[in-house]
Amino acid sequence: MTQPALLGTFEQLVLSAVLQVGEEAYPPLVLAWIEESTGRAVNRGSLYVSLDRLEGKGLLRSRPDTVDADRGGRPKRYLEVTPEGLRALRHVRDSLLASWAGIESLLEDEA
Amino acid sequence: MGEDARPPRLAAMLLSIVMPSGWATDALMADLEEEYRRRWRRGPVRAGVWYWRAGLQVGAAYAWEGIRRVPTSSLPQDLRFAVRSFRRTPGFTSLAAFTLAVGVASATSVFSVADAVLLRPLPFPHPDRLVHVWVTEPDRGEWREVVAGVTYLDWERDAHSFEGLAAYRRIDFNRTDSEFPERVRGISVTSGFFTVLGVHAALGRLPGPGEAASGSDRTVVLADALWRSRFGSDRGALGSTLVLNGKPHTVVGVLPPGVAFPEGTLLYVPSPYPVPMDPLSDTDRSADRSAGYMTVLGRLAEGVGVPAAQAEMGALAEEMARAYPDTKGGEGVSVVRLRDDLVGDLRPTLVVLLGAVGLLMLIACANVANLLTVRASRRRRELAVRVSLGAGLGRIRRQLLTESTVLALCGGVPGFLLAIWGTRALVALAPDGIPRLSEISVDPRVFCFSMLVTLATGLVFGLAPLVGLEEGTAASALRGAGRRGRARPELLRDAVVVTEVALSLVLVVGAGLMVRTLRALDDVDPGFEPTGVLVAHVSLPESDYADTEGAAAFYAESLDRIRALPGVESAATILTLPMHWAIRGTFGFSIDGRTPDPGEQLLAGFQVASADYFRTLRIPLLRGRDIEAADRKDAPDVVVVNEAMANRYWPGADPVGARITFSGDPDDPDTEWATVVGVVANTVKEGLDRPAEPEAFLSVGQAAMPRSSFVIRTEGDPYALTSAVREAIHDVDPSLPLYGLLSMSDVTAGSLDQRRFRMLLLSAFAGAALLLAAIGLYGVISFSVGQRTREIGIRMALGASRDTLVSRVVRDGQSRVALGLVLGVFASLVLKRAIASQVFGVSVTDPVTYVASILLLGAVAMLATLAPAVRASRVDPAVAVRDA
Repeated sequence: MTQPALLGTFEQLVLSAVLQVGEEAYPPLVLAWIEESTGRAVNRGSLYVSLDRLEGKGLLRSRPDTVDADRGGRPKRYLEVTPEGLRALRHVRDSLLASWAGIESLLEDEA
Repeated sequence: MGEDARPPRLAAMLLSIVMPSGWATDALMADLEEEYRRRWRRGPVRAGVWYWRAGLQVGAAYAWEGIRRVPTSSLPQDLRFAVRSFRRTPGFTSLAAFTLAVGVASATSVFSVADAVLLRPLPFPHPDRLVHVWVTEPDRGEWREVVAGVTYLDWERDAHSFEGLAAYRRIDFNRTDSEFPERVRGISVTSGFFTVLGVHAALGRLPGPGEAASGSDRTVVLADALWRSRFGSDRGALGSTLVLNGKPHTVVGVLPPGVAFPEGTLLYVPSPYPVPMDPLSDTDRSADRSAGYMTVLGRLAEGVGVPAAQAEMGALAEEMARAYPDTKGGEGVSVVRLRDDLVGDLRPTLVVLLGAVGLLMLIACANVANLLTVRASRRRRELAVRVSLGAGLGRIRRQLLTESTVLALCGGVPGFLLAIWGTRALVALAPDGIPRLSEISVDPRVFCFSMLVTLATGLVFGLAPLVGLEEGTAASALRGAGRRGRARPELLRDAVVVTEVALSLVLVVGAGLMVRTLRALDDVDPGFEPTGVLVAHVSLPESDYADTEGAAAFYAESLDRIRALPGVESAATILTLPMHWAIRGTFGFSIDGRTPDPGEQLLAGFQVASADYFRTLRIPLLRGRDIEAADRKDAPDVVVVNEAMANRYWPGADPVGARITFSGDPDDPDTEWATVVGVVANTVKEGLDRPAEPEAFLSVGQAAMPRSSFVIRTEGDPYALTSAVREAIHDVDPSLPLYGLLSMSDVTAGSLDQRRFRMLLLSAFAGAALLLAAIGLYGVISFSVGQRTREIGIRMALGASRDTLVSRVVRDGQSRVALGLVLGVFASLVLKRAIASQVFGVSVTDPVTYVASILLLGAVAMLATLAPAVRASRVDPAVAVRDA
């Protein structure tokens, strides 16, 4: 089996956000979720470019959906994490957990 | 939901340039529009701002992504196409590139100067907290005076607004420890000086507060420039001894490079007294309350602003005025940011220059826009064909973008090189006295800004051919291309040319006013005759000339020797030459038998002259007699006053016979009074555009100062006598450097250097603007002619004469020019306040200047329209009708 793809920090966030938002995930909702959970503003351009890159790497797929008439007939880009993407995320989780093994107490919030 | 809310079209269009085509981009644009509509309900303006910002974020990210992927993009092909396309139209390419180069070069050079002098922060920590503290005189408005010893010490003790205060005074030292005596610029500083500035030694150490040198233990700190030039950057310079004004000084430190405050200072000498040394005598002047000679530097305490400091100092000044009404009555205090003080006079000049350069950039961009639009209309057909053959709009957009960038580079790179050269030229030509001259260099930020502006212009107008050329409308474009263009682009082009002409006129009028100002200044009577006079300066060290008799004897003997030289008509000494850097500040004096009104202070410039001074400079004697050689120590003290002093303090009366004193208490019977024996005409003191000030001239035989200037009227060329004069002084005292040997004409001319410089600059701009306007006109008329080739051909076929056609085309152009001139006159009148401060001796609305400028511009415009007009007349009717 091939190695899971390496993910940058922001890319991890994007993939996680897409999963969190769920079926209706499209870029504005993903952006809103990331901003709310991190408490920081996100560069819109970085988000869209990351989506393209992730799709290019096969970790994400998108499909047009022209159901929404309010957009002048222009589609929404619905997003979905691929199995490869899930593998990559799992790999990140495992790596992080391994790196934190034994120092959980240090990482606890100060009382 | 705000269906009427549409996001800004320009932003959307610009964004679409960099986005890859495809449904994902459509979705993205729809996302943005969706969010825009949501925000539009909260406020349309804010929604628009948000859209632009978001668009920029997305556009920048995709543009960068595009660049990252260059190898796989169409860029190489686009580049090749762009280069080929430009090579096919060399005329257009060179005109556009030249225009860009001129615009970028001028903007970059002038802005670099303005940046270094005006904008860049001083090289000290928290430079915005550094201030100068001046004394102000009640009847002299904004005029700032230097400070007296007691005043400074009182401030140091009582003021709380400052983290630290220090005082300094410029003293040029005679250095006699090296092979030849030389004169070195330095300043005498109080002990807190370096701490206030916030500098640290690059080598050795700097004296700190409370560390006043003692009378015998004198120290000196070197500026980096001196350390490099005279000591060869040798660390062994530390601990060596310099003999300055006859006293040994130990070198204890070297300052880091780039720190030379005030400008040009090479030596920093800690004063052995609580106040800086007086250039005229090595005595402690801390108890002196009236005569100011030092400049006070302060660092504001944290959190204290200039207004708060000003308020505190103002209150202190009032207290002092109450306590000492005679000497301090009516005095105020002014706290000024250091940077503002340094830049002071220059600010209006630089603002005017920046304005001029902005205008020039505008004209250059307008020209490029024009040229690109002209080119665009010629290319509509080509592009329409491409579109009909299946080329995507996005691809074409990208290619046009590439072309614009290549063009911008063609103009920008030579422009940058020209800017480097131009900045060097500016620095070389710049007169003395421009602060921070050494820091001026081409600023990369400015260059990037200029490039960005030109790139943006190129971008916007380079894409002009695509206006209206949507996919699917290619057929109509094909039909329409080659015929007369649509009305709107033509109107835009005309508007651009009219604006160019107007802007050029503004610049030409400005330059013309500067030229006339200089002429007017040249015509100002300085009050003396400068031609044929040689000047030289000496400074006598106190070690050898402890008293006035010694100095007087030196001057007398020197003058005897100089007068004996062949070719010398007359010679004399004077304390401060007119229009030379003067002892700053005026001195208080008293008139025998007159008590000044409360708050009134009698002030006059203090001068010491030998016999023959007025005769040598041909300053008319109006009443009484001149200073004579007999006016020596053993004779009664005499003084000659100038007309300004006579009129101010003896209005309507004859001052001859009155007695005045500069020193001491008028009520003290031991005070030495000088009798006014004569009145002379006014001479210019500081600048040709400043009114004459009261001045009193004491006899050198009675009040010799350790500093003086020789004025020598020669029969021939003054410079022919420089070595002879040097030798004569050398024979009297071999250790004395004689410096600043110049002809008085050069000194006078030098005072106009700054103005001349401005005139040169403004003229250069005006010239460039004229040229660009001509190019612009030429471009527009050419285009117009090209568009109407068919019409012209038909007319000629129907029998119209070539002359008629030529004059038609010329008239066409003239109407635009006329409108531009009218607008230009209007704009100049509106802007006249901006230039008023620079103008002297001529009205800001001087009709001669305006008429001349209009005629000049009109002539140039005529030439610019003639060329295409003549071309029009050479059109072969048959070819014209066929090819249309």
